[in-house]
Amino acid sequence: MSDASREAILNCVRRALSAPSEKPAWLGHPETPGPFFSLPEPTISACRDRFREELTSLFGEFHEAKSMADARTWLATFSQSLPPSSKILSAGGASLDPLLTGLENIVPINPAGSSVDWAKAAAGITLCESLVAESGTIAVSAAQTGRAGSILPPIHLVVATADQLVPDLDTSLARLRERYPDALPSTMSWITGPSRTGDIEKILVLGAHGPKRLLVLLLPAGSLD
Amino acid sequence: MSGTGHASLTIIEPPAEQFQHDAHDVAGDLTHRRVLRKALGSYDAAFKKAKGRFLDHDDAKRRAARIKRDAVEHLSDYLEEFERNVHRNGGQVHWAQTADEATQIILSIAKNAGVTHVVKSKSMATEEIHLNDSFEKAGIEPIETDLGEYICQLRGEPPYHFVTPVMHLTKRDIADTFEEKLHIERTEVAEELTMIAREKLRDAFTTSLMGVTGGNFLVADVGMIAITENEGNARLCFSLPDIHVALVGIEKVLPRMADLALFWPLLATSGTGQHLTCYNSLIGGPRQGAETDGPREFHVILMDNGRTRLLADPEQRDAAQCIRCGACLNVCPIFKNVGGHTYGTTYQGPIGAVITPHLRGLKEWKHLPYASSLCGNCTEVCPVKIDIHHHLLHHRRNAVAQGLNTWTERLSFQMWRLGMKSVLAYRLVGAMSRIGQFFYRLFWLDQGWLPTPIDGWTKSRDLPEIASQSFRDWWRKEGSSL
Repeated sequence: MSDASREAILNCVRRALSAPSEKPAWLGHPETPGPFFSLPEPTISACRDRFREELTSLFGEFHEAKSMADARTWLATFSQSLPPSSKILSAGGASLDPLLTGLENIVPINPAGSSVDWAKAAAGITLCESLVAESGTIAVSAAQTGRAGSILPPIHLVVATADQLVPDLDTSLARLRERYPDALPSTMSWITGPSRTGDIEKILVLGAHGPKRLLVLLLPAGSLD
Repeated sequence: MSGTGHASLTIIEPPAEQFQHDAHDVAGDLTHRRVLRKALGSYDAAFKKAKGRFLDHDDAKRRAARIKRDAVEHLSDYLEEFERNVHRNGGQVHWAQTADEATQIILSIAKNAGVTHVVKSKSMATEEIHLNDSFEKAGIEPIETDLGEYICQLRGEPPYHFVTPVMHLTKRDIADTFEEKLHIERTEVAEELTMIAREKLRDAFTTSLMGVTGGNFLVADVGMIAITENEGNARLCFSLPDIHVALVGIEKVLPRMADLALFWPLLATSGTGQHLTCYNSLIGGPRQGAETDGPREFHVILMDNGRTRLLADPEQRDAAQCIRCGACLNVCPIFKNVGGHTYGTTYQGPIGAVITPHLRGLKEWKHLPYASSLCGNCTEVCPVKIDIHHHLLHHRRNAVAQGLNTWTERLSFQMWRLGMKSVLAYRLVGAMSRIGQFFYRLFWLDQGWLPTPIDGWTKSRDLPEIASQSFRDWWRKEGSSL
């Protein structure tokens, strides 16, 4: 049945398109190549500043750690700020072990593939593929951190390194294709601020279904290599 | 029943009469006008701000239109490319010619897996085929998880606007609904209402075996669907259940993944006045080898359901470029007056008036193209440059050519033509009108009455007074001396 429908639809489309359409006037208008938005300089510091500005304007939180020790201190403070015995799960894999081992309430999930009840986690820690400076966006993929860890817990904490900053969405998309030339991860999400809704009288409410808080911990370039 | 601006509960056939009836009711509903004005006012401010972030928004629109035009003009090639790539990622592709076929495919996937309830994220394609009714008939509970759609489902109402489903409701209306249907302690605070929905739906997400979503784009070169949202419910729908089913119209193709760098901000800007929506996701299959979670099965259903009829009209084919941002509704003076439910269609507003006659037949839906002042706001805001208001005229012309207009309309235009073609007839009509006017004003003015079938004119307007002297007569007397 499906094969017959496939042929029927494709034939219908081909037949429909065999009648040429008129060329609209705008088609002759010359295009301006180049970026769609004003972009930061492609340096780490310019991208970091822009990323921070955009993320915080969308109610995201940002912390830049100068060293691994600084990051551990910040994480310990973050963990203590949550209600006692909150469980923070990390889908960051072995690369986050040096950062997380021994921290109170933080449970690294190793090895990857073990079944995890994200619904009970107070916060989820994940890595990211890139940070988009222009829009304050975080790209995550299932290959790196699975699917649920970055969307089900009420708090999402992203651990990133400064070399993951890219100026724009274009570069972020291209970087994923370079990193996974043979098969892309089964899902990728570009996250811009904590979950939100304006469905009720256009009043902004954070934490509609996804995380109410979104935090980015930025480490010096190469810290997780 | 509480709430404003929704279509009457009286079902009237045919749709044109329902439209007239509901438009009349809604246009006079002052609460509804206030709610809508507030919602559209805040959209307008946000849209202007987001648009301002583009270095050249007009140029971005032309670039987007060019990409979508290419996608539509080579649709069969891109669909085949999309299918090949989905297969390569381990997903399944189904093709559905009609709403019925799409429904059967989805139900058979659900039945094979023995699901009792499905979580759904916002999808106009599933609204189009009334999937929830079919699920219920099959004994499967569909659970809408987008906040707006959840509220619609509780109220038993269709979405008011295909981007903003409960644009017409106040906090109080929603509080009434929650109190009545969920038996919870009353609150009218938006944040608390949202958190109630969040809590109620958590279990549904974690226990459902099947998630159903739509798709904003079919990305051909990678065989992935793209979903744009703010709440995160779509991400939960395709992350937690064992099976992910996506129902998508065949026209939603984008050739390349790289095109999203333009289409994501463009859609967010026009749709909700955001620079980017909170979550933009690409989904290309079930969980891959080393991934820790995600569905075992991924199905995409490519649905025609009348779309090839639109493609077969070369004059209006550009309407297949539509990315369903809803901007044309938000700027439409008719939409602002009659509201979303009055249209009685899945796709409301100007773009709905263009595509519905193709999807569901010009004969029954030809009244929608007339529901326009032809101001052209819709065409101006369209991010993919669809010539919307001219297509409304094309539909009107086609309706006349196919003899679908009423006999009164045909008669009036025949008489008008007669009058315009003959000097004698023209003068005669003028003279008779002046005499007729005398009697009209003498006897019937207070009642605002004209005989059927031309009484439509005086229902909401006064008959303009005809000058006592025609221009022709005036010119003969005075014109020569000027």
